[in-house]
Amino acid sequence: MRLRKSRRVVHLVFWLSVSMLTVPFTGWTAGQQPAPESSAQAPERQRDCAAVLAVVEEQNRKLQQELRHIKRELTLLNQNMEKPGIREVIAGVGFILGLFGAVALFSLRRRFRADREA
Amino acid sequence: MHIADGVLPFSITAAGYALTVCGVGISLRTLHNEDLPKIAVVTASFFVASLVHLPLGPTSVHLLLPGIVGALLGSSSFLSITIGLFLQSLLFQFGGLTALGANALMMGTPALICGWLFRRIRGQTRTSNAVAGALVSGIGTMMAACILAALLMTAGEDFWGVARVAMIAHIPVIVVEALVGAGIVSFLYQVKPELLIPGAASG
Repeated sequence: MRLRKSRRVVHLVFWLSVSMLTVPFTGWTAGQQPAPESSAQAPERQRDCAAVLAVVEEQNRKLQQELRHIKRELTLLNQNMEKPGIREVIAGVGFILGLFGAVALFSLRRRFRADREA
Repeated sequence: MHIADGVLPFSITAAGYALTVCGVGISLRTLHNEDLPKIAVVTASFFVASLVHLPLGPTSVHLLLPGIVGALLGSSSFLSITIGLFLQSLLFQFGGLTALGANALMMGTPALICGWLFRRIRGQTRTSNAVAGALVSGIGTMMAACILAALLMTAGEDFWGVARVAMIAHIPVIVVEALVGAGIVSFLYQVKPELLIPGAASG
């Protein structure tokens, strides 16, 4: 369960990073396009700009949503990792029983020796 | 109910450690070899009981069992609780190693008092034993909460609110502990009554 969740997080992070890698290239191609200079096309250009801006903002919002989602999953994963599991319980119980077993062994040995000397 | 690292001032931490060492020394002094298995089992139960979480509104609280540990172990309860808290801080990240002394003091003192009280009021019948177990469990938790609040108050005025919240959060725990304590004591009285006599050889 934990493994599957972490794999999903890794996938999301991977695709997010890939999509972010493409961002500079799109900006570069947009910059390479020769800008039309005539004043008659100015309103059209403005409209284009607004459209591009809208698209970029839309993408930004989507990315932010996904980032928030990933962050939430990460905190959940961290919380799950911090919770003590069955392994810790068994380790602790084993430690306690072993400790008292060792004490019992030594005290028994001492008494055995005392009995033999007596 | 654990105090985290770095909350308490150094003097309180050191005093807690010193008193804990004294308590463990007393426990070791009064230790009987025949009681070792019982102490081991009670310590393990105490260690695991803190994982039993009761959902309570936005937060959750967990069982503490100082009263029952005291009732079962008497003067050896301090040793048991110190070992249990040490392992909890190592494995569960409850509290911390520097605050271990204060935490052991907070849980061990009620256990000692409860053990003494339980022997005084337990009586001879099963009902009176169960009632005594419930009472002792509730009082033990209440005392632990009071000591926690007092320790937090020494940490500064910022923790007054925290102390109050801790006190309020432990009211349901006291009720649940009393029920659990009554159940455990009445069961043990029926199945193995000699377990309820602290310090006596349990065969």
